[in-house]
This record gives sequence, structure tokens and C-alpha cells, in this order.
Amino acid sequence: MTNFKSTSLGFFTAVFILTITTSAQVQRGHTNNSKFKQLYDQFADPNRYHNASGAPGVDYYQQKVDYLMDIELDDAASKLYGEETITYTNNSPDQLPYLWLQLDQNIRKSDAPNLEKNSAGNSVTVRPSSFVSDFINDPFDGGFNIEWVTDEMGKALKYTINQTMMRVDLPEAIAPGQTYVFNIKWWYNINDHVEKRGRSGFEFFPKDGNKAYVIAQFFPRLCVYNDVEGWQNYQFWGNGEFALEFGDYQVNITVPSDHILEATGSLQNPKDVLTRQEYKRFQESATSFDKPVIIVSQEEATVKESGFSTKKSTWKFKAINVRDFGFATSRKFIWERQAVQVGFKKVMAVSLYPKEGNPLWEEYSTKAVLQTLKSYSKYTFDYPYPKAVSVHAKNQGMEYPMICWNYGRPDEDGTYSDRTKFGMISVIIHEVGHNYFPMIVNSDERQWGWMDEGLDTFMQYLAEQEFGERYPESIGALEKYPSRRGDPQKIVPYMAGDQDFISPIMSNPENVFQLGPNAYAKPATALNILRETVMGREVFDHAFKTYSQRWMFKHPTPEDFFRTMEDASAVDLDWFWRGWFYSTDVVDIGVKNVKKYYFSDEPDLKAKERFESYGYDLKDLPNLVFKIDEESDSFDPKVAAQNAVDGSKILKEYLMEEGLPSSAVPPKYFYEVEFEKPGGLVMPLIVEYSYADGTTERVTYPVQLWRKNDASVKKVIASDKELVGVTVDPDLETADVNADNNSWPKKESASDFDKFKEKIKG
Amino acid sequence: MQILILVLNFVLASLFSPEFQTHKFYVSTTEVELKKETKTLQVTAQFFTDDLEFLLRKNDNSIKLDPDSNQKQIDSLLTEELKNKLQFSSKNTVFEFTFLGKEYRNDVSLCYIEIPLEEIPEKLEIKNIFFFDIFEDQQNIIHFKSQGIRKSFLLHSDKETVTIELNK
Repeated sequence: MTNFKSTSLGFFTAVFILTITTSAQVQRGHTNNSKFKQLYDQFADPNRYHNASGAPGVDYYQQKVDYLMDIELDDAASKLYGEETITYTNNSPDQLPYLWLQLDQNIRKSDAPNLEKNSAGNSVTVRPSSFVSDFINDPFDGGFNIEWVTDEMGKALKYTINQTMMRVDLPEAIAPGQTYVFNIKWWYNINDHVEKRGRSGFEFFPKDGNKAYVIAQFFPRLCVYNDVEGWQNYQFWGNGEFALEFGDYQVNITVPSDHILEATGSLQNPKDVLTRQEYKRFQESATSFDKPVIIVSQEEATVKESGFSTKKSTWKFKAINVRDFGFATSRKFIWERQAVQVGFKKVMAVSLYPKEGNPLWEEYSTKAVLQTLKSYSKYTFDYPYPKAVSVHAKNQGMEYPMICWNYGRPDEDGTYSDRTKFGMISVIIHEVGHNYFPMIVNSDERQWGWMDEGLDTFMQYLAEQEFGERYPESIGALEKYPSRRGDPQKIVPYMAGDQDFISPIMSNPENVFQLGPNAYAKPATALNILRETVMGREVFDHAFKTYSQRWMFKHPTPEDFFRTMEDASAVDLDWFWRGWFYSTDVVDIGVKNVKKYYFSDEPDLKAKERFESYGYDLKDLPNLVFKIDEESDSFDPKVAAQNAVDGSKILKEYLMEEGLPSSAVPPKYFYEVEFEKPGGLVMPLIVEYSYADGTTERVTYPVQLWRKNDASVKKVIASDKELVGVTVDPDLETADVNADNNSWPKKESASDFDKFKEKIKG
Repeated sequence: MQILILVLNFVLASLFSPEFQTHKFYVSTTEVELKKETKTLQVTAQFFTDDLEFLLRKNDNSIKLDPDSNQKQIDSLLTEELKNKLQFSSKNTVFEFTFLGKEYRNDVSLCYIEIPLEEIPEKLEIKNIFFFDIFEDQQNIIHFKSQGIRKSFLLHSDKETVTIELNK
């Protein structure tokens, strides 16, 4: 072995001198461009508010905003009126001379700038529907009408509205630790959310003349003030959702007395607003753990449709530590509730739907709510609120604390396809799941859509799979629940797309080309790959839970997520965040070449030439052993068929001198396997080796394999079995965009087209 | 009569106004593979089944896909839509194609089309305006593949066609 060492040293010295002398030109230097470099250049510095481990720092603070509101619905005129008293507590170390409030309804003002946010383009087609809305119909008269803003004593306060934001100027700045109370009175025209789009509004049912309301973003709400952005007053342009403060709500909502209403928070006066029979069922449902109790049946709701009561009822709700408030109301609503045990707490799983949702909704809505609470709580924290409500709105899915709207409507004859069914179950899981992200783990949705949509879509995948296992009858003959997002292979068409139309995940939701894959599917898939392939379930799950629990009822940043995932796992993931979240690179790893070789005492032509070029005479050198591979001029298939060391006397003698036990037989075959990486992303290299005897071996090389050579790496396989096949990423778990280079010997995987053609041939 | 048709169109349009779902996004993916040895284009167009059903119901509101209410009727309507909206051409000549059939996979429909070429043209133009008339935000992704070469394009209402040089 000593011989080998001295020669290789001499050899490297020769290479070194050669490089120096032939470098006539000076090569340009560069900064650190390693894909494994730490992310200091991208991350905000840790500080006393957000610390380096990804947890809230010692000086972390958060404002508290409490609301007392009286709301009234004018059903006939589709108008909503409100008066609110806001108690603002300044927990920041800063003086606040003014407050910013969100006026999201202003996106519906007839002159709202968001109507002009997109280019008209040079399309040659005109959609008849947009022709009508663009050039014929009067624009909808939406947006807040602010009647007044006053202080606690009723004295008018100066306010200024800039698009969807309202600044209230205070006579004196609010000092740290101080509380300020003020009032706002407002009203607005409610839009038809089916025709005019939107996350809030009513659906009109022409057959019976009723409306079903799903109401949200309906009152002026305080913006977040924090150490990261100061006032979070990025305008609402329609895509980036909401960033809000936590607080306590007391809300009284007056609606026609024949309406059934659900909202964020606990109902304080069920006896006042329900009939005696409804109240009895309402009470029963609180202990009904095995099935839902129907409080208002389809029959009862249908009878009410023609009533149009002129009397009014006021529903009173109280919600503790929520960041928003939403409600749904109609006389068409069927209402069911079931109790479910989550940790030490009892939670009510609730569904609210018009008869148009049946028979689908009575079958699956409450089940989906239940499953979400169970699955998400297992991976994050026990659901802390008293209830979770799923409301049926015709064609939207949207989330608020404790309440959400979901699509999934059967055809008029009551039949529905599997698509409608799975679409409905999935959207309920997704929207109820949003209680965890961002209603409780309260990231800034307006700035970072992926932090709630991506994390929620990832969790949705796990919950859907568990739904399929718990209710096998719901998936019928399918092997597992048909999740739309999460499976690595499903993100390939997006990631392999035209780079001019792809943005990194770390982009504002307004500025991406395809929000669906960008903020939902790609981050969800990335997390799924982290869990299954990079970190392993146990390590990942602990880190993910740590992040969730650290930031419950707080405002985390992307760095807090990235840092916590590393801090709680001891897995350096800066390479993963850089590649998957900060870039648009793709995975493409393949096997380039496989060469069989054996050992010989005689050099082949290539070795001779190389030594000659360095000015060495082989005779002067000590004993050497040479690798003879399949491409070599001296390759002899007969020698190759024997044990690989048989052709080298020097090696055999050396092995004997070393006194190896006779049982230690050197491997028979040697192969050099070269892997290539045309894709920009680094990933662990997962390889399946197949041998002539029919056996296979799975090896996962760590991602660090790529740290010194980003284009190709080699591995030596020494085995007693003949190697007959190499497959990279055999289970398609890395979202590799090109499978054509994934196997040796090369085989082009049959495309969907080929398979279909084969199938129709019979 | 002209005016009447226009008005009718508007009524229909409001019935079929684009359904907006906050969490729904309009994308289709079409894989195009040029097989030089057999001089054929193999096309797999993938659409969300909901979108396709919505489109076909313009003709007949009782149409249902997966399972199909009437496969013959649906395939014939679909062939017509494909002919009008997904076109492969060269030098202003649109190639004829054969619609081989379709498959459903979860919530998507895969439509298979084969196009025999007399000779391989220098430039291939692909036009895909599927759903541009009904969904404002529709985007159609094209993945082109030929002998190991891969290219991807995104078509939307501002960009309805793409031209690919085949000799490169």
C-alpha cells in the first residue's frame, strides 16, 4: 500500500505542475456559488423578535385588537349595515400616531384600481360574458360607505382612505402598552358571489327567490403592525389574502327571524333564536359523538323557503383569540352538528347547506370536517377552538376562523360524479384545515401565499389519505384517496414548463403566473418530498410540529419556518430551501454510463499515454495496478468473466501479504457507474441496482454527493453478482422532470400515448 | 336574425359565465411527441374533466362525463372542439388528425390524437385556444418532445400559437 501512496503523490505533483505551467491566462475568480452555501444572503438576520432557531425571540410582541359589533342584514335590498367598537392594545415598543385598517370591500368599488391591474393583451377572441361586463352592464356599486369614525367619547376622528386601506389619525399617539378605543359605522351593497365573483356575498336561488349569504371581509379590520414590516398595509389587489391581528370578538347579527345562521365563535343565545324543537336538538348534538344531530332537516328548511318572515332575530356570538370573523345565513339552510373529541377537548363539527347540496352534503360534509380535525391535530396541535363549520357555497372554497365555504354541488336530479364528490371532500378538508394555517399559525398571507396555502395543501394530502383509510366505502374500488396535489409526479408538468412563466415560490401572490401550482401544489409537493425522501417521517414530523406549536397564535415569517425545520431536526436544508423555494430550478438526474472493469499489472494504451504526457517512464515507477475497463484497448472479455483481481498478480500477492483470512474473498465484479445531473436542483440520489440473479439493491446516496461536482458523480459497485441494470429514482419520488435518462441500459418509458394505443389495439 | 343570435349568445354567456372558485385554477397540459421514424405526431391533451364537461354542455346541458352520458355524442362533440381549438399546421396548412379516444384519470381527461405527416416540416405551428372563450385565466401548457429534445411553452389568451423549428 505504501507503494501506491508514493506513486499517487508523485502523480498529483505532476498534475499540479502541469496546470501551473500551461495556465498562460489568469482564470477569473468568483464568489461562493455552491448550492450548499448557507442562506445568509437571502434570510433576514435573526433578532430579538425572531430568533436564530426560528422561534419567537425574547422581545417578540403582537398587537391585540378586540371588536364589539352590531350587524344588520337587509335581505330584500342585499345591504349590510354595521357599527363597531374597536379596542386596540399597543404591545409594540413604538408610538403609534395613526392606525391602518383594511377596507377589502373597496375592491368592488366601480372605480377600483384593481379592475385595471391586468394587461388587455392582443387576443383575437372575445368572451361574450366579458363583453357584457366590460361594455354593457353598469358596474356594481360596491365598496364600504363609511358613515363616521369617532373616538370613545363620540368625537369625530380624521380618516383618509387610500384604495383598500384607511388611515385613522389620532389626536395623540398611542404609547407602548396603552389601549385606544374608537368606533366606526358603515354599510355596503352585498354582491352576488356566483355572478360577480368573490370570496363573500350571496347566491340567489331563482326557483324560490331566496338568497344564501356567506359574509366575510365585511367590516373595517385592523392591519397587522409588527417588527418585520411596520404596518402591513400592502393593498388588497384580489390574490394576496389577509394579514390580521388576534383579538376577542362579540358580534350581534340581526337577520330575518326564519334564517339559520352560523358564525365564528360560540352562540350565546340559542334559546332566543331557535324554536323549542331546534333548541332541544341543538343541546342533544353537544354530546352526540357517533353521528350528527340534524337540527334543521331538509323538510323543515324547504317549508321555510316560502315564508319570508318580516320579523327579526339577533344572533349573539363570542369568539376568543381569533384573527377574523365570518358568518353565513339563509332560511334555506339545513343544519347539523356532531361532537368530536380532540385531545382533551370536545369540538363541534358542523355543516350548513341548502337542499341543493343534497344528497352529497348530508353524506360527507361532517365526516370531512371530523377527519380534518383529527388528522391535522395529530401533526400540529390539538384544535383549540370550540367548533369548525363547513358551509356550502355554490362554487367557492374560502376559509375563516372556525367557519369556511365549500363547493361541491350535485346535478339538479341529485346525482353527482366521483369528481364532484372528491372535489367536495377535498375542498372541505382544505378549508377546515386552514384553521391551522393561517388562522392559528398566522403567517402573512398577503405577502407569502405559500406559507398558508402550501402548508395547508401538504397537510390536506395527509388528511385525504387518512380519510380514504377511515371511510373505505367513500373511495370505492380505488386503491387510495385520489389526492390532486402532493404526489411528486403530479408537479412535473408545471416544473418542466416554460421558464419565462414560472416564478419562485418565494414570490408575492400578485406577481406569479400560476398561483395554483406556485403557492399550493409546488410547496406542498416540496414538503412531501422533504418528509418522504429527504428527512424521513419521524424527523420531519417532529420539526413540523415544533414549527406549528412555536407559532400558534403568532405571526411567523418564512425564515421562522425554514430555521425551525433545521433547528428541530439537525438536517441542514439551506440547499433545499434555496433550490425549491428561492429558484425555479428542476430535478433531472440520470445514469450516464456504466463501465465494467478488472485489474491488471499491464497498463492499457490510455494509461501509457497519460504517463508519457507527464514525462514518466513506467519502468522507473514502483509496482502499479491498472484498471482495465470495457472501453480499453486491452479489455479481454475472458479475463473479465473471471474474478476481477485474477488478472493482477501484484494485487493478489498484496492481498495475501496483508494476511487477510482465507474466507475474505474479494468481490468478483467491479463497475464504475457515472450519474449525470442536467437539472439545477441537487437532490439525494436514489438508485436501484439490478443483478443477473434477479435480485435488486436500493441505495440512497446523500445529497452532499453533489457538493463538489454539480454536473456528474461516479460510484464504484463491487459485487459478486453481475450488474444488469441501474435505475435512478425508481419510485418517482423526486419530481424528476425527465425520465428518459433514468435507466441503464437505456429504456424509454412508455408514454401515456403508447399505452393507450396499445390498449385500444386490444 | 344576426342581432337575435347575438342577444341569444349573451343570454347563454351569462348562464355559462365563468365559474370562479377562489381555489381553482385553469390550466391544461398538452404533450406533443414527434416520432421522426414513423413521421407521426403523438398528442396527449390533458384537461380538467369539469372544464371539459362545462364546455360540452354548451351544446347539450344534459351531458355528463366520467361516466359518459352518451359516449358517441361526447366523442363527436369533443372531436369537433379539438379540430377547432387544438391545431397543428405548417405553411398555413392545418394537418388532419385522428382522434384515438380518451381516458379519465381522477379529475382529468386525457385525449389522444395522432397526426400522420407526409414529410417532416421545417416549422411546426401549434395553436391551442381551448377554453380561452370561457375562462378568462385559462393557460395551456405545451410540452414538445422529439428525439430527446424537450421544449415547453405556455399559451394564454394573449399568445395563442407557438412555432417550433424541427430541423434544429
